Amino acid sequence: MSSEQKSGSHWRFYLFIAFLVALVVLGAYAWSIQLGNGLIVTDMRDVVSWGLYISLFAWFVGISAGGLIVSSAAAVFGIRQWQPISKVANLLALVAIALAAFAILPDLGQPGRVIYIFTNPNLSSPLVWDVTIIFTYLAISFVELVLMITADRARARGKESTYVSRERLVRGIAFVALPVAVLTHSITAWIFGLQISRPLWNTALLAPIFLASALVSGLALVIFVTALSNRFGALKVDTEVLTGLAKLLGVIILVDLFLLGSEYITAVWPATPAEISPLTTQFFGPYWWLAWTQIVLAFVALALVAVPRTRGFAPTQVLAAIFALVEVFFYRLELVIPAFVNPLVQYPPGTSIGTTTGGTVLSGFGVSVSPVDPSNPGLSFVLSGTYFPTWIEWSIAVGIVAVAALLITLGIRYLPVREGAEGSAAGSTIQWSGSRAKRDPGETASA
Amino acid sequence: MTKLGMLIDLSRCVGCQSCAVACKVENNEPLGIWWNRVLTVGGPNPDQPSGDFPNVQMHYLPLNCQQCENAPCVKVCPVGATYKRESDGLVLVDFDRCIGCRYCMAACPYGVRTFNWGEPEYTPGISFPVGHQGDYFDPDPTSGPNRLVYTPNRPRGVVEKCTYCVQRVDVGVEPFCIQVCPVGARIFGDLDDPNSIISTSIQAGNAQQLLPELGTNPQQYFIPPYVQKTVVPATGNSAPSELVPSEDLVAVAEEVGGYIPGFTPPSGAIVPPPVPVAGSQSSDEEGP
Repeated sequence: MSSEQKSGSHWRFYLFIAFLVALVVLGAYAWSIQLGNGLIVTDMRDVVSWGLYISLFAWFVGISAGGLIVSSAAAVFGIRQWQPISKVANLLALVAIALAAFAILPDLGQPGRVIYIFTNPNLSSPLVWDVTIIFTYLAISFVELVLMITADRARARGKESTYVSRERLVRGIAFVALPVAVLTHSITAWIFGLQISRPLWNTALLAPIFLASALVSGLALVIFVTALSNRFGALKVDTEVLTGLAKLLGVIILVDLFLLGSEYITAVWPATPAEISPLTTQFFGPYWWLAWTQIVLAFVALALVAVPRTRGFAPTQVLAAIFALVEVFFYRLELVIPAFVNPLVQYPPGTSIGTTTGGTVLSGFGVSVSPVDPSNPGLSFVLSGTYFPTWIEWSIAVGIVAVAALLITLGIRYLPVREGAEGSAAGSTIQWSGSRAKRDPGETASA
Repeated sequence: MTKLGMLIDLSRCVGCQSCAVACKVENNEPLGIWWNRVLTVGGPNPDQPSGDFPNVQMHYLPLNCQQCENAPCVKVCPVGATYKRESDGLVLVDFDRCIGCRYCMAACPYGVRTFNWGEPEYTPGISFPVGHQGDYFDPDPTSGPNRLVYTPNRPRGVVEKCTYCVQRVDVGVEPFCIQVCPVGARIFGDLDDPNSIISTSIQAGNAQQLLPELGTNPQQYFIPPYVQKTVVPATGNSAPSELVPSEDLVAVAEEVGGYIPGFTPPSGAIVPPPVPVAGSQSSDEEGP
């Protein structure tokens, strides 16, 4: 993490930043089109009325869990070896949860009215609970990160008492952050899981599944970012730490698969159509590939971190982390889209889709209807929903992911969140932070 | 208290779609938006029964907002744009408040909510709002001020649905779908009044709610379609007399060139001689 290494890779760094900025610009351009024309530029219609945006939102909430495990759990359970990456993990949580809050905006038909959530909240709405808990989590992550950084700065300047009090505060906040983080994922699950209208969602296991999958993706993000930062010299993390995280990733993937498995068997064994049909749609319906890809990726990621010979290598860890991140993203998609495909009341001619375009002509319905727009034939009714994101949806989603990547990259580069492996023997009165590494004083000055 | 409800007699509904069209006109619904639809419960296509003739069955299911007492949409709306009016239990949407998150559409088990995905479009050449003219604000003081529950000029990006024609009901006029139903299959009234026509009809007709197992407790009821009348025993020997093809059906059959392929007429039926038609199977009836 020395500055010589940094300057050696300057051009690569700026190229990467430019690439991300380009993606952000693309997303902003796509969003401007959507703002000008409405959500009709998406492929969402009245049957599949939620899509990529909500999946992305749930995914971002999930990947914020990495900060919880590493920084809060490190403090609460006194796991010393994670101390060196706790600030990076906290930064990831902060960025992820901020982008989760942001990711709701493109999904709104009237984004300008989002302020009503704060001025006219309906307290029975899980969405209001979620916004509340997300902003609480955001505030806690922010305060925790600031305290961690200022504590280190105080220590670098020799103000040991300030350092001790700050660290004590960090530890105290971690005790609050842990339940808040658990609630964040549970409430996000309850947005879906409390709805009787979607049998696929309506299971008490959804909150535990969301927590497990959030931990999978959050931990994967921590592994991904720290391993890559290690590779490019932005961080110096012991291989031991990364291998430990990889092992934990395997355990949590197992827990996640166990929860999914018990959910599936509870639906399949009684063989009641009401329980099975949503699962049939999920695994054998038009979007079967979402669920199967997710299961396969989960097992591949598990295999990568389960084999003791290979899990110690950074490339394996990064690959497993990527698979885990994509797996959870597919889980979000497979939860959202197939749940809408077959409405509970599904009789011909079906549901009006809200526009005159995009519907499918009913087969065998021997009536020809001339569409209003001849270049865009279609009827306004569909029996079952179809959905595939348009380029605008993809661009906005990629743009939001690029914003997250940009914030993380710049944060690691310019915020004093890094730890050097040297000087880690410094003593401290706080027992759990005894192994806390000393920060590079030069970084403090630049910050 | 008043609790406005609607009762649809499915044994009377003829599937003429008048209510759907009337609703679209009165509420100036943009193209692609239907607050009220008439579904066919039977085969895979509209107006198509299930089964093989004559063992067929079909009924219509007019579907609009069920005005649930335990309304999932009201509970999920983050900003209280969808609310249940205290004075008569109508579930209404405030066009000025809705943020367009569509959580209510995810929460509604009946799929009766619809969204303005783009700028509302109307039939080309009709540049004026049909139906009710002007904005309508909820007069119920308990609903809060400035609740825009109907507007002919739809904003983009908001959810809308059947209001039981709140702008008519509030001045003592029935919803338009009630008024236009040619067979009187729709009854509207106060569910809290045990002597109202709707209450007594619900009792007498053994009316049911849609998806009652979900516990949403709709204020909309349906009298069952008496499907048993149209079920024919597989043996065909004891076919009830009303299943004998009427003279009309015989006339139709002659016009289209014979009975529907696969049709086995019940014994004793008057069957016209089969007329061979190109491209269609000739009937294979065993009748006289």
